[in-house]
Amino acid sequence: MPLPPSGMPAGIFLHMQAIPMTATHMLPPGAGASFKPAHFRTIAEQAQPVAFFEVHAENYMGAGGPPHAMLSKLRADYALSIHGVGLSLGGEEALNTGHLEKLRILCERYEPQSFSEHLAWSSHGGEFLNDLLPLPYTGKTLARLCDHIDQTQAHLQRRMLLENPSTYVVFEESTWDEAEFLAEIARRTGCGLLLDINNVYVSAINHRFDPRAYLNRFALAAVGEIHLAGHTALTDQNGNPYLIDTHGGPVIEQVWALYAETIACAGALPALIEWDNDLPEWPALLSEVRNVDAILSAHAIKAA
Amino acid sequence: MQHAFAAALTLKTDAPCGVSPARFGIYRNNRLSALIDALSAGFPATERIVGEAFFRAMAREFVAAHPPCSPVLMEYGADLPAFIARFAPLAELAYLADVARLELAHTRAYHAADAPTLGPDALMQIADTSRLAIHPSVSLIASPYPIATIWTMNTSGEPAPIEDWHGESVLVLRTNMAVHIHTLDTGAVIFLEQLQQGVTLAGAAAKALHDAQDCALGPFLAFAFSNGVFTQIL
Repeated sequence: MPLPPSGMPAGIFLHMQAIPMTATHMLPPGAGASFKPAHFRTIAEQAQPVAFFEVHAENYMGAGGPPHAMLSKLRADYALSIHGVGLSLGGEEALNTGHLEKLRILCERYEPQSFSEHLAWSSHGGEFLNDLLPLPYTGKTLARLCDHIDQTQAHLQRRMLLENPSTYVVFEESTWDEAEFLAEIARRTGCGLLLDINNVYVSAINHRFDPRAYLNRFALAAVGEIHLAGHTALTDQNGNPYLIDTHGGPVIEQVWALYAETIACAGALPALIEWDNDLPEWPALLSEVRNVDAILSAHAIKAA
Repeated sequence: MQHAFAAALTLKTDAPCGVSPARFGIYRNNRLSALIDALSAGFPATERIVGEAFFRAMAREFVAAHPPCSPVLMEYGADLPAFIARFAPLAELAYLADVARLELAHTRAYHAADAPTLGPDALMQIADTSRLAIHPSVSLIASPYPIATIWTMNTSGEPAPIEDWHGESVLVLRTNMAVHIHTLDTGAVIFLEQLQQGVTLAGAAAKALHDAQDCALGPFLAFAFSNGVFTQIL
């Protein structure tokens, strides 16, 4: 009998009774890293101090060849998170069932400890728009997202995690706060949440809100994974700073601080270093992973 | 709402009402630069030949004409060779579309299904009446231009003048998890095409010997059985 995570009220898994959720569907509460094929040779040379690896689902939707050979080797040695970037859960149109089936096949083949997707949309009118696009938070978009997540969890026969986005625009018609919107989706669908602390920070600077207040409203009990990444800081024509979520550099001090504060409240959670662009050599990524470990160790000592 | 947003994102209309054009531009730029990067990753020799600035400008026009319809971007760019063939500013680089076809075949071979292959010992088991199943990664590209030479110079080598300008037929194939290209003589191309169509070994050989002037099928078969071209004797 699957149990809801501690801290969540019973009865929350209204839609989830048929969906198995066991220990094999949880990432270990340590530090993980994005996997990039350029690092494969180095990673495979010796055991790495990494609790799990994460890959983008869409990069493993080819029939065979080196991507699957690498992922199979990785999966044999480490826990795995499969992170989708193309399902368009926030889309106004029906979900792409062909794509959903490809995700099911991938999850069946690799049995990842976690599958996650985004609070965003990326397809419209038969076109893939290749970005995680923002949506207003209203009763209508809430109902549609919950339907899409119910459909996804039923098709994959597993609980998924939903990630908070980084955004550059906000919509006047929004009637929900983003953190509360995510909490309500988790409550209605039984999905978990993926808390991207860099995304919180990026959106907080872009829309001038307090990231700590946002994190205080976040449903931490539903969080199954944390993302940490670097971003690019720019200044607009009025001299105001804004941030772009580029995943192309180290995590900044402020984001590390928010992470440490979050696990002080939520406890140790799986945390991933995302690095997708301007990829460094593996040791640079590993040193970010070690920063996560250091914060987790400090937390464990304090908690003891 | 998403219809208007998508139209503006793909540069068909201005930024939607109530949205800062500068901020909206971040989404436009993210989408376009990531799609151009995807094409650049799939067509490195093509990009090196025309230069980065030209390639990115051309890719921008390609994205406008052929936006992706699938979130699986490894499949994106299938229309690029035909686009290049029709792209007026490239009219003088007549060989470029075939180089792009070679690069497309290279990407497809990389992602093609896995299949156990026949080794040299299987040569003892084939008969005139045998049909051979071909590995899913195999593509054949016949060109009136020296595309293998051009591709090699622009991926692992250094571009240099090509003294002996002649057509090349290329076999693209993944062997032991690495994609390789091999130039074939006309006879081997006809022979392999016949086998792809399900013709028997004897039938394929007869056609190749009849149609091609240069035809050394023995060495080709030895090569093919050592490099995983075939997966099964049918």
